[in-house]
Amino acid sequence: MVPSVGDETTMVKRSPHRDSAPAKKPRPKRVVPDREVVRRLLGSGGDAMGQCMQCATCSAVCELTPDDAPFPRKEMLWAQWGLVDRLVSDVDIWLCHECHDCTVRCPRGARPGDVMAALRQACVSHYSFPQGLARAAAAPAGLVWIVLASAALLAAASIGWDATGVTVAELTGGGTRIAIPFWTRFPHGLLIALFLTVFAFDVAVLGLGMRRYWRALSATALSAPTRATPNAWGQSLRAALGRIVWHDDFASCQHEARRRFGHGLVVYGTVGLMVVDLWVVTARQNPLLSGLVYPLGLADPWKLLANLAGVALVMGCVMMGIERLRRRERWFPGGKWSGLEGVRRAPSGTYGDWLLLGLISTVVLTGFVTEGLHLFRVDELRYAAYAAHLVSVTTLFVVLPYSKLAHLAYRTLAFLFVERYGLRRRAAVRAETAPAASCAQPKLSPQEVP
Amino acid sequence: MSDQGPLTVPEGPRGRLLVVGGGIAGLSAAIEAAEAGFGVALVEREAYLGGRVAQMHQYFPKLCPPLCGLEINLRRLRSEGGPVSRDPRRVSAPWGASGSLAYLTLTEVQEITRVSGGRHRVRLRQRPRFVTARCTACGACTSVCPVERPHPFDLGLRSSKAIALPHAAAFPTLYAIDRDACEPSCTRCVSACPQQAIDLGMPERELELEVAAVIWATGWEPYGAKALTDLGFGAHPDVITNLMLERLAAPQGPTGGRITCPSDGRVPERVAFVQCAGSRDVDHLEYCSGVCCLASAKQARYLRAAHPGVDVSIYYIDRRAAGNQERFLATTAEDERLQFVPGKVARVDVSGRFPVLEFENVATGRLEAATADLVVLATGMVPSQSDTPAFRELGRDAWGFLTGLEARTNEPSAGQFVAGCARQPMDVSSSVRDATSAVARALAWGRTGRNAFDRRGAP
Amino acid sequence: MTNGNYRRVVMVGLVVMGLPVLFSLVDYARGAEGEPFLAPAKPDTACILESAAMRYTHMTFLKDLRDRVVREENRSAEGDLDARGMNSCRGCHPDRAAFCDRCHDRASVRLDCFDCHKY
Repeated sequence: MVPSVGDETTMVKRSPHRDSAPAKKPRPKRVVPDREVVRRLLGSGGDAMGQCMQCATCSAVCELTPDDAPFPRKEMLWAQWGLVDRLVSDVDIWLCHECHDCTVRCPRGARPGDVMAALRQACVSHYSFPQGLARAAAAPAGLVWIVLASAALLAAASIGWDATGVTVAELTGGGTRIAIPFWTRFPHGLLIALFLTVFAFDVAVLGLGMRRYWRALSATALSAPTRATPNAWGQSLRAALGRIVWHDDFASCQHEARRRFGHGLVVYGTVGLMVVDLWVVTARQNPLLSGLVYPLGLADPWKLLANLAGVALVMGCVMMGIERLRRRERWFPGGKWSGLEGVRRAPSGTYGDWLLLGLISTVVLTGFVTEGLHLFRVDELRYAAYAAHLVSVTTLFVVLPYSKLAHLAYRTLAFLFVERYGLRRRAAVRAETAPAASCAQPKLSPQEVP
Repeated sequence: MSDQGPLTVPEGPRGRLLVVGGGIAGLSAAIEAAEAGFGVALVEREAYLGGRVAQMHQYFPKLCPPLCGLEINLRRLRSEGGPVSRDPRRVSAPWGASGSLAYLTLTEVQEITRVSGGRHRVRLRQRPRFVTARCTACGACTSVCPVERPHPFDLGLRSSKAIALPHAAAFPTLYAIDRDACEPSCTRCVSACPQQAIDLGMPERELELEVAAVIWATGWEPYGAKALTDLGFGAHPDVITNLMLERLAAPQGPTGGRITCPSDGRVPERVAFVQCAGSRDVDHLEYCSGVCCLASAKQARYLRAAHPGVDVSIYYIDRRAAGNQERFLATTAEDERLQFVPGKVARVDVSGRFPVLEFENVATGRLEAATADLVVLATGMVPSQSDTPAFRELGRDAWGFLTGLEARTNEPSAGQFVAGCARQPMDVSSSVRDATSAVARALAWGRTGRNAFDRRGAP
Repeated sequence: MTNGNYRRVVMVGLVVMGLPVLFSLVDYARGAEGEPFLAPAKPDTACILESAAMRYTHMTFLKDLRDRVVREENRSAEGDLDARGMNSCRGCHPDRAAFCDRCHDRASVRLDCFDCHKY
């Protein structure tokens, strides 16, 4: 994985005297640029990557990059060349946390931070199936179809459920006519079954992608002679999870420092909601529960937690969104860049970035609206809000393995990989961390010794 | 003031030409134009001729002192066509049979207006030098002057008195007073001068002139390294610019030509050159100045020659050398204690005693940190600035360099040509050639009253 | 926010997430009543629907009755509608506080029947 320009990027020329060559030299690998990949990267945030002149400022200012294979300079080169094989077997794209320290400092305005994000998206698309769905999730036009498909899925499930007649039969067992309430069109059992199915699909897609990615990583990163004895799985997993739990990597970022907090709110908000969901989904089987399970009263500890988590989620999304929109003022204070140039220099996020924040916010906000309309008995709207909530949840689950949200799987995997093989350690080359390193002490000429 | 003669500029057979800027380009243009038959007014903002070249220690690729080349031009100016008055105000001077040349120091062009026949009326303003042509540069004034100030010619690397010779080889060899630095109502130099050459009441003067054409050779300034906050300039005395290194190396410079660390005067053992310091950078200079690579190679070579024990590293993005200068870089790289390291220095950490450079070595693909005794920032060239109306009205390209050659005949800046680094960054020999070509254009303009490039325009 | 503070905040968050489980465990250990809300009906009365179905559908059930009677003037369809109207609720469950309010309070569902009707 020597990331220099000249190693394998040399084109092979067919020599007319090949047969007479006395000894077989190892043939340099022929580089096959993938123009389609380049085109896609250009369209998903990497539009300025052609500006890169390989000065390596990005790698040197990055606080997360390891010393032995720094990013994102090499990735910029690979992206320009469309070296898809290298890009999709590169673990470093997931070690980047998109803090944009490199983008701010790039002397060409090539925005390596955005290119890395585009590469991550390309990596997710590359390893996921079906490819059609992956494409759809990567473009605004596709979102319309996914939303419509999600709504159709819900409608189909509801109609199918209706057609089985189970609810009606159960309820009308006494021969009494009963109007079927809205929520019996989407009884919890049905929703749980539906979402578990979609969730299982997500797990399958992500799992397969992770498996492919892990294999690609093992084939490339581990072929280096530096391969060490791998660390134990448990130890590696602990270390990887530790990085996630404490958001350690975010702490290094300079220009998006507050994102550590915003991202934390979103992550722990999601975890909180997942805990509540788990509780609710398993309620019927839970020996601790009996009788009335839902609706949960406002004072119920679970309801409190759910609301708290929802508020945290929205707050986190808003924080990250505001940070994103105010980049120009934060990165280039004093109106240094204005107008279109400023927008190009400090863009306010790609489609993929906003899809994630937008979907999460929509899910939580429609949830809150539904809750509020329920509490205040606004019967005309509450079912509409609930339907919107269900559709947005389904959409979120459908795009999960194809969107930026897939980073929860891929980044975790990358962490696990580097922790297991002891790769990508950040040695203390920085002056502030190694003031007494031997190379950092110049010899003093005799007359200078105090 | 009786000894202040009239400001006159003679008319040559080809008419009169104004050359703005007395650096190597302006000097060359003025002399060539005078030889070609123009009566030339050479106008210089500083108190001496020679400009940036006078500050250099050595030229590349020959590694010879520029004062030598400058001296040749000054001799042409001084002696070939007869003596030029040393009086900076009495500028009338015969120049051979073909024309004549007069130079004015401390002078700026205020305004230029087009008059009929493609000619220009220019208004010049000369700031007072406060020292008359009677000065013999004896130095009596300097020894009594109470004020020390950072010496501008040596870029603040040493201080000098408020009254001083602008630099050791200054032409004209006249002292000048920095009145802004003077103590109020101090007249010690006046009474100390044995020649009564000091006149603290000298007024500002104006001169109006009609010329056929104007050549702007206003030259360049080093990019302000203070803006390079990441590279530690100003935060550590041993982080200097390439121009400062020229002064450190120059025999008449602040250290007498001994290249030492400004912090404590020790001889450096590791010198790092940071190429593209602010150049090719959308936040600083978006363009490549084109000469810094060769300049650093040159400096590395005279550094290595001066201190055989020194290790030199040059950190670069691309090694750029125009045309046959490529060979100069290649020869430079042969020195085994001089290494070119691919990778732009992203940060110079100046928190410790020694500056530490942080970069990715693109050749090895590793992040590295290197300590240096002396860090030289190879800053680029920016066009000199002036806030006079005449200068502001000139055409400019995207980076602020002057255009003019392309001006259509009926445009206001037509008949005003640009030479040297005012047009684009270039090295000294290119500047000289550029000056000659500008003179050729001015000659054509003087004859036809139209720009040779403008096929459609009519006078 | 310093690294230490960040970790502390995350810890607090994780503890907060564990609290509902703790509450549930405590409730369970205390042997808190599972379904304490409904006071049983008067003895010797017939249920209109079995209690699970009634809990699930009573709101639409009542509205459906209302619509049929008020909007469609159809009082014949199911016989003694009157016995099944809301008036009849208190025939079996005389205490509104124990029959309606307790449960609705617990579930935070606003009860709007009695904006117009008297129990």
